[in-house]
Amino acid sequence: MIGMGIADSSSIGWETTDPCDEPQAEKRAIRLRGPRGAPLPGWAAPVVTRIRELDSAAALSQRDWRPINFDDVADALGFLERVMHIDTSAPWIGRLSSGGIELTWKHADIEVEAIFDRLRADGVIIVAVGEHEWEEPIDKADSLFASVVDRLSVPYVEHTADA
Amino acid sequence: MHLSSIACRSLTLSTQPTPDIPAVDAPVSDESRVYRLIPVSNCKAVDGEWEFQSGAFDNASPMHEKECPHDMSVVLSDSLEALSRVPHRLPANSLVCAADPDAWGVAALDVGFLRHEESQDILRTPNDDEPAHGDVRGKKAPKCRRRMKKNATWVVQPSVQPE
Repeated sequence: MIGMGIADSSSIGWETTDPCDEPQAEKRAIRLRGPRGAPLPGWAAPVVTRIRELDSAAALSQRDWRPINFDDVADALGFLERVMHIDTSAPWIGRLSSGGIELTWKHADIEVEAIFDRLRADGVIIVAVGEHEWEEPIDKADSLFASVVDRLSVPYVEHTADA
Repeated sequence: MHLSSIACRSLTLSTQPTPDIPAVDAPVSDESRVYRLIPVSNCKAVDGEWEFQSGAFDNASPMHEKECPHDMSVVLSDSLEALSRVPHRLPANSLVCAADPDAWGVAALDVGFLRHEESQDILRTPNDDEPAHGDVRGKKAPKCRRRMKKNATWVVQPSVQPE
């Protein structure tokens, strides 16, 4: 299970212990940081809250679905820290049976799915704009996401929704 | 027994088969459908409705190497009909949903689509808890899950209201 909390005003961190490793349970931690000590962007808190929710006992009730993989979470958060702007809308986050996670954004004709799945070596990003679709391995996802990130900003989404 | 995530059923039919339903080795026609139980954790709330995401169509990830990692647990429409049961009652009647049936919905996929466009095999894998149980066997890469999402339709959405 992953334990998370707000570490200080500019970061959210969590740590995990793997029951399989006990008694040498290693605590590992990841922190989301605002750029250069700035406040965390708006998407950070919803992301952490959602991951915590997915890691809860209720979400683990599906048999043959594994607990969330800490490394996949770390990969996903690293991706978000690299590619998200301060005003980018938070992704929807879902769990995979492997313990991997999927991040999705959808607005107007843009859809993004970023899959972090080390167990099955299935990490990939899929970006769809209208009928066109592009795919890259997750380790090469940044530039593909960058091509649509401006159209996933909260102001842009709100503006186009009002139009 | 958790219906949504049962892996390859090596322990099929530990009881006598129900005479009215198709035999385990009877072919499943292209015109049949499969029903997939989907929890709200695999759904995004959009305009007050639940929208299932690609991860809802993930294979199980069994812990044991002897079990097949390419099975997605479903209920077969022809077996269900033979038992005079209806799909929208599956959340209320399935053990996997017993803790919170309102948090589960049922999506349908056409067997013909799964077999011919996604190269999946449809297996009859009845078990003690669900005599109409089946598995959709085949690798499901992220793009495959995405196509399944696009081709699936709700039979019944989770009755719990999105926040």
